[in-house]
Order: sequence, then structure tokens, then C-alpha cells
Amino acid sequence: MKDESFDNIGKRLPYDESEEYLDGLLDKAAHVALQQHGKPLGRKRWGLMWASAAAVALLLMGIGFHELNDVSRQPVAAQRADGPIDEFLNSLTDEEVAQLPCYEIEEIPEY
Amino acid sequence: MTNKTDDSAFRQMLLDPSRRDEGFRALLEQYGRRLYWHIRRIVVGHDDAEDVLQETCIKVLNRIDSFKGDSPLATWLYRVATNEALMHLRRQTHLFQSIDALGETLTAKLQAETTIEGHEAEVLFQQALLTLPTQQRIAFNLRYYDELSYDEIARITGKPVGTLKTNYHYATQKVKDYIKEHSL
Repeated sequence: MKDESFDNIGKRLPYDESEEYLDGLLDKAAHVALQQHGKPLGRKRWGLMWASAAAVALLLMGIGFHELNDVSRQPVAAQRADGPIDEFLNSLTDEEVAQLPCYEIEEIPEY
Repeated sequence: MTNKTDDSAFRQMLLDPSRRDEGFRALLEQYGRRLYWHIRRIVVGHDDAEDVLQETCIKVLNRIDSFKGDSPLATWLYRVATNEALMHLRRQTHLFQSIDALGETLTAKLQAETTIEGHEAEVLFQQALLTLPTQQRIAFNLRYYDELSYDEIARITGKPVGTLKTNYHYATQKVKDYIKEHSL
């Protein structure tokens, strides 16, 4: 390729269209636009609008469901009542429980 | 770009159902080719330009009542065409991808659609333009090819005149550098 500069390339484009093609294109564009003018949204566009609305509704339902059943707000693990200490406590009578030594928090020695 | 009398005459014809057909064909006769080439320079592809021109025509006809005559009709037409072309480019991008990332895709289209043999320089010029950010490329096209004033380009793109002048200067320099760098 020879040395080219901005100025000598000018406004030429590397592609062209014939006058007949452009006439036909503009005629077709006018015809379609005039035919479509004032028409209500086509079936496809209505379908897209309904699909979009349904998607938004599903998303909102999903967010609501997630909020109601938020895993992060539930205890990390359910409290278990079948461990050996629980079994021992369950086996005690009310009187025996009353005799269990009870400590105040201040009485617990610090490590 | 055009005088007010023509603009109001076009508007009246397009708003009158009995003269709409005639008015719209006359409008395309006057501005259609300029709009086509403006769109083609943005979207590059032959088929893309056809689609965008069609969408532009539909939008112009449906929205003519929103044209109040505050700016020339040609400016308004260019704005509609520019917006439609940008929307068309956006539809070609992936999620969260900018239209500025379409440079390579558009360059590939340019090479595939180059019909004139021995016009490597023109291809190179267009390739240089495709390295520019899209908004800058559009402003450059409007100034360089369509020879619009900065005020008109500002009305079309919604960018301040000062920004457009700086961008045009920057774009010109970048195109010159690209051509110099890639010429053999």
C-alpha cells in the first residue's frame, strides 16, 4: 500500500450502493413504516411484554420467599435434646433438680 | 441544514392522514440517503443499516407529533437515526459489555463488506475510525462526512460544543496517527 494520509483519502468509503438499490430501500422503508403507523403493538411485542411482566412477578415472588425463609436468619443448628447431659437432666425428678448446685455468674471462677 | 418552512410543511403533511403518505415519501426523498449513510457509517454492516433505517422510519412516523420545531427537522431525524443505530449496536453486545468493545466485530464486518477493489486506503481510514469510542466516532462522522456544525452535532448527540470540538480534534489526530502507523 502506498503512503496514505488523512487528506488524500478524503471522504471516500470502501463500499458503495447503487442509486437503484437506495431508491428501492427507501421505498420499502416508507411502505413498511406507513403500513405500521398507528397499529397497536404486534402480537410478538405483547408476548414479550407479558413474558417480561411474568418474569418480574416470579422474581418478586422469589425474593419474598427467600425473605420469609431466609437461611441466614435460622439457627446454625437445631438444638439437640438427646445428648448425654440432656438424658441425665431428663431423668432427674423436680426435687433432685432443686438440689443441684446452682451457681451465680459471679461465683464461676475465671480462667 | 434546512429552512423552517420546509420543516413545518413536512410536519403538517405527516400529521394529516390524507397527506401522510405523500409527505413521508417526500421526507425520505429529501433526507433518506443522508440518513442511510449516517446509519451505515455507525453500524457498518449492509443488512444492519437496512434494519436500522427501517426502525428509524417507523419511529419518525410514530413520533412526529413530538417534534415541536424547536430545532431543524434534519437535526431531529439525525437524532432518531443515531439513537436507533446505538440501540442496534447495544443489542449486539453481551451482558454488561460496552458498545465500544464492538470495534473488532465492526472491523470484521467492514472487511467482509468492502466491495470496491483496490481501496485499501479507504478501508484503513474506516478501520482507524473504528478504534475510536462510539460516541466520538459518531461526532466525527457528523462533522467530517455530513459537514454539520458543532451546534447541530450538539443537538443530535446531547454533548456540549466544547467537548465535541476537543473530541473532534483528538479523533482527527488519532486517525492520522493510525493511518501513518499502518501505511506501508
